[in-house]
Amino acid sequence: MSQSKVLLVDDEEELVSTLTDRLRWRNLDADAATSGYAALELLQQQNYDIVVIDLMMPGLDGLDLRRIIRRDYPGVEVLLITGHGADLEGQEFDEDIVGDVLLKPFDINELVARIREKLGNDGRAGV
Amino acid sequence: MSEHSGDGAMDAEVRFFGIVTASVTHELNNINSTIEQIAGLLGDDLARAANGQPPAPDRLHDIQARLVNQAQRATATIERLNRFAHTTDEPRGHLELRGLLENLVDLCRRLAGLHRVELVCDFPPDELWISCQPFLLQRVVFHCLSRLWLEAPSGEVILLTLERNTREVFISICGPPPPPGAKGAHDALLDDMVAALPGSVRRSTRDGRPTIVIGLPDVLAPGSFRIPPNEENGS
Repeated sequence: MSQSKVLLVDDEEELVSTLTDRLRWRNLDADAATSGYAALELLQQQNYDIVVIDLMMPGLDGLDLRRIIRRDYPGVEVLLITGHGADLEGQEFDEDIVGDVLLKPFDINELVARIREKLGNDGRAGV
Repeated sequence: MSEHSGDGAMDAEVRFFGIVTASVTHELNNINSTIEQIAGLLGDDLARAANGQPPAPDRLHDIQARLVNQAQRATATIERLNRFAHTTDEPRGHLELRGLLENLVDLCRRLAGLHRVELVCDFPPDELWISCQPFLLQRVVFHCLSRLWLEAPSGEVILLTLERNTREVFISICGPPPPPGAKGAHDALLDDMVAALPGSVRRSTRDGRPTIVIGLPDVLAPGSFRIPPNEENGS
């Protein structure tokens, strides 16, 4: 049974590196990217099951990256992480985004549970 | 309601303070999240140790160093916000201009980055003391920076420089070339704020890049004044 493949995207390099290590120890095949553009490069090279994206990033921000992924990689799930719910105010987005957001700081087990919830509903292997 | 006077001016000042504070709290939240996860990584290693897989000493040193690094980063961020907050202590006073601007630019880097713009300071090494309104001056500079980064194409740079003569100091804020067809609207708010400093504002172009030059009088000669107590104790 193959591991679920996770891509973590956050411009906080130390945070995304640490999360990657912790997810790997929890039997998730995790990679890290520190920008939206770097994430798109990785998506072109590998098949990810889910992308976890920080909402507020310089360059290509989380919402724009999410839109691109939903358009170009429709089979890939997306989970947004953000420091403040206020970051979403005034933004235009799909109504279903509420279920795709996890607030920082979060417990690693909460992140794993949300990943498994999004992948497990589709019956993917390895979760 | 006009930002130029009365309640409008007060609201605009509060908004400015709120924008800067919100950005800093966002940064601190990221640092806090990072510290929590690094501490959690240590917890994961301890769990492995309980199962007979203790971490190597180098691993523990690495985790400790990463925690210290994030804590120092938080301290530096809090110090920047504290310096900014204390510029409201007195409406007017002696201030060291280079340090004030460097602190403001540091506070704004994240905001500029979200608009895909880099802020660069090119200041002379010597301290430069003037008599001015510190909070209003920061509002003026922030006003110029934010208008430039809102209009700037991705990947551009905004450059701040300082020049002086015996009587005046000049803050130059040089932005990227505007998009084709863009028509610069007259910025009456900037004119009013600079006049209140008091100071002068001149708009020019350097190598096709719009440049705002803010002139401030009342340059203080070294030895001509006492540094106020709250500057010395850093409170």
